[in-house]
Amino acid sequence: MEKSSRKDKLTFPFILLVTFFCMYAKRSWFKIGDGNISTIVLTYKDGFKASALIGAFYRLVNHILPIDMMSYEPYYFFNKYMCFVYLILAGLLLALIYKRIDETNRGVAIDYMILAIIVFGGMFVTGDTMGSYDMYMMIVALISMMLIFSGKLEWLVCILNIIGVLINPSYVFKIMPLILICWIYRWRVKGQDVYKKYIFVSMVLSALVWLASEASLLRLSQVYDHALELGYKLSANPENYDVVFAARTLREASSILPEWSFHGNNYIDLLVLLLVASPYLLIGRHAFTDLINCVRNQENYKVYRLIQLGAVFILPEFILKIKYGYLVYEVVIYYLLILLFLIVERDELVLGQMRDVRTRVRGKVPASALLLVYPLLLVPFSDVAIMNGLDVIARFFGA
Amino acid sequence: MIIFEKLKKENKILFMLVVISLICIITNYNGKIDNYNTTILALNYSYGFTSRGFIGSIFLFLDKLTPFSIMNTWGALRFYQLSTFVFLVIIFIFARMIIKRAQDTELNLVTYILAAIVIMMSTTFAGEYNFGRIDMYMIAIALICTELIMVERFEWLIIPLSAIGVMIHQGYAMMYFNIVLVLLFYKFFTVADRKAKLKYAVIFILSILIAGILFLYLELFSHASNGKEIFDDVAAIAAGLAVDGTYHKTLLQHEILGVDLSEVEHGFHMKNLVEIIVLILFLLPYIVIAIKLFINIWKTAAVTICDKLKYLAVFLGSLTMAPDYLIKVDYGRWVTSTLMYYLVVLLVLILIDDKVREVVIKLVSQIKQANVLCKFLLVYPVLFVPFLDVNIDQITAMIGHVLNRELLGWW
Repeated sequence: MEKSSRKDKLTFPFILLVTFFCMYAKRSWFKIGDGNISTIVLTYKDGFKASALIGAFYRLVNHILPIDMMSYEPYYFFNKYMCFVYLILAGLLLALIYKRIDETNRGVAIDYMILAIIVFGGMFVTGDTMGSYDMYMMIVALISMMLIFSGKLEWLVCILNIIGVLINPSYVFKIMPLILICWIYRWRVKGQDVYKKYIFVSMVLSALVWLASEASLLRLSQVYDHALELGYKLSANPENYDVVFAARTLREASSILPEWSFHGNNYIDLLVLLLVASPYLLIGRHAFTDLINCVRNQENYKVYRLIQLGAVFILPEFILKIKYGYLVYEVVIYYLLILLFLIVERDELVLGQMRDVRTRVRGKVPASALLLVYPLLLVPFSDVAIMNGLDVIARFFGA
Repeated sequence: MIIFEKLKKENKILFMLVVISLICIITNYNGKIDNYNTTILALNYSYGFTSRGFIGSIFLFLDKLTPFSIMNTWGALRFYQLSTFVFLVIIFIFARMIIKRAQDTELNLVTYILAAIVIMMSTTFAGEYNFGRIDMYMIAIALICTELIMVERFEWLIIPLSAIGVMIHQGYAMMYFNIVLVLLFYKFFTVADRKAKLKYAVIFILSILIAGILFLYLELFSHASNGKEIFDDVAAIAAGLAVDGTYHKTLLQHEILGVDLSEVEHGFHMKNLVEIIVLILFLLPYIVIAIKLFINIWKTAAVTICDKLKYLAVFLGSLTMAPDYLIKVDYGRWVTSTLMYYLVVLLVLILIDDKVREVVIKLVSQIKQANVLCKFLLVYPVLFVPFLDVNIDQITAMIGHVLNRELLGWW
């Protein structure tokens, strides 16, 4: 291995380590919010239930460790350590992606890698997002994506998908499309038929678990009191614990129970974000439109269309649910990871488009690297509010 | 976006900087003013020519001018909102001037440096710790003086502006005055015309004299002679300006009663030491690049004795901050002023000094070619803003806190 290549392979993981550490350290002066206590309310004690896996795992840890986990301090540290797990896995995934990208394509990929670092590092590091269902789903998703990018033991991803759905049924809308589309690409474009089986098995098993999960919520009745009791134990400020969180436990455990009465700021938040993120939306729209035009009469047109529209599967969550911070994060992660996947797969059409985009952006936008700095000013993502700072604008408009 | 594409390049850059500044402000501003910054508004020249009384005097003057009283929380908030807006306008005027003077070869480079300044200023002075902090007035004065030097018009105004800078806060003499002095010194050794040399020499000497005299008076002799009599009145006014009805006790004790703060501040020095070491470690790549840049400039551009003197002044100009680093504890503010010094002076030199421009462009090109990951160097520093006051920033504060708790036990 050449010296410069060896140095490069050490430099990137080091950058990841330092950056994730800084992004975490910057926001570590907080108490864990009460909104995610619902993540550990449900367990399998009285039979199978949706979204009970993390609650069961938490009680297992409580059983194993010689300390009582049912108070604020242990709950706080548990979530902090799980956040570290998330960041470590995100770092490992990005390091793996960087290692797998050809040196000739690194110049094209670096911008997306930097954006991915910012987006991964800007989530689940604050009091209102740490300990959420989405954090645990992302941990599973990161392991799955590592297996996919490395091309090893991918059958395990079928099992990980089930685990993801057990964490929360919304996994099928938020994360699974990314995994399935990667496999569909390898099956249809690369001609690797083994992925047909993975897709089929994943979809069937995950669908069954999803149906069982949603059905299990129909017979739940005593959740509110249990959630309230747990909330008072685990809250940083028990006397100020908001009973609304306990009331929402059931809805958050489901992917389809609607929360639209709470939409409030969501739509204005989203409009503000669309305005603020408009440069990226326009660049992405042009790039994908050109890509689709290139493949319009080709055999794999539908695959690229699926890649372009893959984030549409999250749409039911945007309609039914209110935690837009997580949803926007998952849409952004979808596009970043799918593009990096296509770079690793050396898709010449996509690589050609990316080079064109880079040339066009550099021609039209002076000091174009500021487009990489800009998202760092906007993170971290929040939960109901998309990003805390932009929520200010929504409230200004009276939402 | 079509409108954006039709803009001239300079206006595109300005637009981008304005948007970045707006985002920084929106994500950092929460409408709160630290009681240090409300207390300062209570200090004014009605008690005599006291230190830090300039801004309070303007506030008092506006109160007398307006048909309603602004000596309250609402008034303080509006005053600082207006001041911050004016401050940002001055920054953008400075930015526009720089952009218009830059050639195509260095336009991207100066844009990144300007973006660094805009982000640092917008985040730091919109956040709760430093919203309304008088440092922004000092920066504004320094930038106005820099603009006068660059346009080479009305440069005599630097003399009264330097006086105003010290009257705002005598710390100006160490914190931001160095930008002006170094540029005047540089111009003196650069211009060939004897009349121009004389002009810069006179402005330099008179500015230093006036600033120096004012500094010594305000630092050593200006505390109110009837301090004990007026303390309660001033405290009451200061309390009335804060939302929570409190005032910054040590500030008033120091300014009105002349109480020495060194004992009170002693404990913070250990915190400062740990945090500055942590920051240096995290920003090591930029320090290495800066040292390499200085060495290259010295080797390439410092040919004659005059060149050597002027570049030495540029390299070492930030040493005026040394007393603050050694004696005082607001390391967040000292780091801000050190960074502003190097960013502003570098910007100006890129535009007016061909040799420096060549060296900088060559070094940047070498860095870009060395490794594709170097692009990350543009993004990474944004993690460390906003700067605070005693704590440098949130990252160093957290690391310092953990190190002290687990290992050091120094504070």
